[in-house]
Amino acid sequence: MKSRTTTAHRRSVQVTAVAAAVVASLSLTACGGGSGGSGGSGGKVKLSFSWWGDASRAKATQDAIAAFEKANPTITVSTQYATFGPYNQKLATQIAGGGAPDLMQIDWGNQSQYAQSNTLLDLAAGPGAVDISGLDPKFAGSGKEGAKQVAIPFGQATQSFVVDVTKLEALGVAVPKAGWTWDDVATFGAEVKAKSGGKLYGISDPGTTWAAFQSWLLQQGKQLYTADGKLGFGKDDLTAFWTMCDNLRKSGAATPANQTATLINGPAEDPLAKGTAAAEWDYDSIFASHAAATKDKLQLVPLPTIGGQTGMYAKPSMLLSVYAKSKHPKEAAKLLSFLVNDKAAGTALGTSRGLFPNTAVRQQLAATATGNDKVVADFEAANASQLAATPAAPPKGDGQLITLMQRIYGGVSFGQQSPEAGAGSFMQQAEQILGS
Amino acid sequence: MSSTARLDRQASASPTPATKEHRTIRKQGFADRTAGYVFLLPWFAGIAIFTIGPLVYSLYLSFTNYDLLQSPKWVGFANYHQMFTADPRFMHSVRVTLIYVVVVTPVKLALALGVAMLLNRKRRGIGMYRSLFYLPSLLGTSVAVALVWRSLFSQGGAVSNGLASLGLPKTDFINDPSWALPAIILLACWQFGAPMVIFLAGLKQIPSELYDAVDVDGANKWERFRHVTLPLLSPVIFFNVLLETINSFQAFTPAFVISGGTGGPADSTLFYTLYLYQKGFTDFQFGYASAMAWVLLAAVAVLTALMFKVSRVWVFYGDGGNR
Repeated sequence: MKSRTTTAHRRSVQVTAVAAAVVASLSLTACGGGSGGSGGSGGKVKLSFSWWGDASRAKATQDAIAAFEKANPTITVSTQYATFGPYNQKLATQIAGGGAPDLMQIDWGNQSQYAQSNTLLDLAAGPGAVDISGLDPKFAGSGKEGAKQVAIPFGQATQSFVVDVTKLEALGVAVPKAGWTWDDVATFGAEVKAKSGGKLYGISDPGTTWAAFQSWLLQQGKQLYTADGKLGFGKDDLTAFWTMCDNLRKSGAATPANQTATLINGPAEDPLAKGTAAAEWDYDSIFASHAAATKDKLQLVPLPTIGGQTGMYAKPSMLLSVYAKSKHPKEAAKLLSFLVNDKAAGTALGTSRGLFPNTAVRQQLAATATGNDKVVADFEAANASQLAATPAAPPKGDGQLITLMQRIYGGVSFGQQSPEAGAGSFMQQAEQILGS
Repeated sequence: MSSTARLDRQASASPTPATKEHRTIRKQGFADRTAGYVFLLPWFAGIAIFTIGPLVYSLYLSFTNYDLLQSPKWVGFANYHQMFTADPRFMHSVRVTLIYVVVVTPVKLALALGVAMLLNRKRRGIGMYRSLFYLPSLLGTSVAVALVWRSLFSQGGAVSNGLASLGLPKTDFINDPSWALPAIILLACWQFGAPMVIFLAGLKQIPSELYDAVDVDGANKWERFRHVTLPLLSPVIFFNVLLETINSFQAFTPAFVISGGTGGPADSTLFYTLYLYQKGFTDFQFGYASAMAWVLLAAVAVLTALMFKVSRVWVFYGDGGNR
């Protein structure tokens, strides 16, 4: 039998326990309602800025931001970065939740989609106005959606072949020269294959690379996309491109399918880095990463031509945009302007994102560049006059077509289907993607 | 016991004190229960906010087009319709997943049972052996093991070089469409530890008298296994089959890591869950991805129900009869 006191005691224990549990669950649910990111305190404005990239780019960017904070003591900038894939996933989620950073680096392929959902502030006029008079107007135009300037290019890149000079010299094969043709690629590849005793392939098979196909089209005066965002080429064009790649691969001039599949792993693990290909299609803004992945000396060579055309153009390697819901659009635009125009920013950034947007600063930097920066600057300077007009921003769905290209040509190169059958299924799926 | 005692007292003793006592107990029980539920509140809040909420929302999303940026647009059954009529990759991912499930589940369970029987002996250091065989399962779902697997089986990896030293042709397993899926299947089969532990527990439950009895009848090893071990272990086997089948349908991490998230080479490792992930987080088609998730749930539910039905025929519950 219980005594009255123990019952009473027990009851009070229970009350306390219930109260404790209620408090605990309340505090648990309260976790969801955190406070927003950018607020001001004590007259100081706090901005958030995020980008994708590796550690070396992060260091360069932090240095540029430190210079900005020194010049603008009332503004502090909090930063975040990640690698490309996760970055885009996170950014899309942040935008969906209404909490994107004030200033964000965006990919050209996402620009249309973000702009259409009114995520990006107009940078031509209003509180977010940015001075872009120092940029090449055509290049700055790549950040336009209709009449609105929704983004500013944050680095200029162009297409190239990255060539392993050390390996070619050891084999006694001449480094390809500007103006070479796709026939020369076949001869070059065959020579490399023969002289290396089959250990080295001439080039990494470009058949999975969407951008390589684009420059191949531009060489013939054709476009990847029409002005209204549909496919600008036909099934025959893709069949011809893949047949060419197929022949290069079958003759041993280009890498076999299993090695080509490693291209998606990035510069650190691709055939050029592993020493199984002597040359590889890529943007010159990636040159430093390629150089870091090998001990060999690398060099940049212009793309092979058709009828004298390289099909190379000035591409924004990435762009900067201000979030439409930013609480501090003026300050965010100020930071943006600093990052694309100021010499201190240019010095800190180097060529970590390709060439600096402001042309006057770009020339000053080129004059004093060293190492990999100099290789890129020299390459861009030598080819500036050859560049084709920059196409309009790719439509929504561009990212899916990049992976579609990898997937279907992957099947072709493994011998699962012919280039023509592959092109047929590509066209069908691509139209479905762009139509939706 | 206590409730019968209480009833007895209620029936026999004078009503007043008994009712009073009863009421106190009921009151006490009510308070206990309230306290219990209140203590469960954090868990209820958690499951409502983080499980049921998203679950219901994803059911809604499965009838919409939603790209995260613009608000969801109602499209009815269009996502489900497209899946079964106009998406060859969907059907392909179903095929890849079925191959995986059909191969992995029996092979893994056979391995688990075999090793469990070996380890079901009294021998010195048996505890250590058991731990060692269980170890791969502890590492199993981790990204690190998938990465190790990837480097073992890729070009210039230990497996490829090892086979080459035996005079076999060099194969880049990870980047060859006909070898990438087998490499992932092998990884899954190697992680047989969890069902093995369950089998081991089941084997220990089998009374040794039964073995003595069949020994007297002159049974050989196979007959011992066939007529004693198998029937008495059948509930445990059923449990493991069920669990492993469901697990196999949900396999994701190894394929994601080994193929770098692409399901490649040439879609040879495009698991259902991997394709679902791509649709959601690469293509930003959350409506379609949600629809896929619900189709998977429905398929697994139907399969589970079917397995329960069939189990009545072959699962032997020792407590008298097949239910």
